[in-house]
Amino acid sequence: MTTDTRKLSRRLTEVALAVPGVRSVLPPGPKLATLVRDVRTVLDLPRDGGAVLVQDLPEGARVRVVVTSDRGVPTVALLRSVRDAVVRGTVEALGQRPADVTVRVVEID
Amino acid sequence: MTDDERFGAFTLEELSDYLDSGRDPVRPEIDGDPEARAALGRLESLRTASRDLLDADASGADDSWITGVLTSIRTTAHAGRDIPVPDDDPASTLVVTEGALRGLVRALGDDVPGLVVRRTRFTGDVTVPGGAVDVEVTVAVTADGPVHDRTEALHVAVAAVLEAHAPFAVRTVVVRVADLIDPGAA
Repeated sequence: MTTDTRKLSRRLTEVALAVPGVRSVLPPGPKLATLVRDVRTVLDLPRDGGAVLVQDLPEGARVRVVVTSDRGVPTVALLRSVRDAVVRGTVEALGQRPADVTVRVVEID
Repeated sequence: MTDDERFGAFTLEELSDYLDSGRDPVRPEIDGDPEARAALGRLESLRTASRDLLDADASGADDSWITGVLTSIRTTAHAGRDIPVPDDDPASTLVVTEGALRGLVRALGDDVPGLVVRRTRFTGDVTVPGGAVDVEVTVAVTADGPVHDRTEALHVAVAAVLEAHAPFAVRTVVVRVADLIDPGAA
């Protein structure tokens, strides 16, 4: 993968936010146990990238998306829509599908 | 520390919910449990420390980053288990957190006058995509009106909302009244 991961992160954050029913896109947080052990880990989250985590791995791009959503939109359908949008966005930017995509809904308002 | 660990008789999720409510209504069973009380103190310290660190370190950073991180911390503290969504794509993992669904049920309780959702438990094949799950909602109600009407209203709302949002098959929904509370508390 040759694209700047931070640039792609910003693009995929915009893509995810554009999906109907997505209220916000959050930086993936550490696990609670990690947070309790070392609260400073949250400060390691990148600031100049988008909220979507994009990692450049030998097998391809790994993409992690965390969203909060609107309760007016069914969550399962929303998850698939976000996944499809992020895959499309990655293909447009990299010319290939991401090797791994995780989409997580953490709050439904 | 795992997220399922108990502190005294309570899970981290219950203690976190209690902190979120501003300890109102007061839950003497938690406040009277030494281990739970100690864990509450640590959780409270964590939240304060997170805020202080962010204030100190992120001054000048853009507001959306700070808001995102704070929301990330809040949702992390409530995430619970990952509930997988059945999907054909082996390269994708689609997940709704248990905390998201519990928050939704809690919000439904807020819509029912004189009722507070204390706890929501999902049992059964929660981590199996499309598995069958039993839902138990424990509530406290005020004693100034018919209890059955309110619990039935919540029951109907929970069943409908989980049908729309949960990735599992809802097998049963049980609403259990655990406590009567002061009308001013709900």
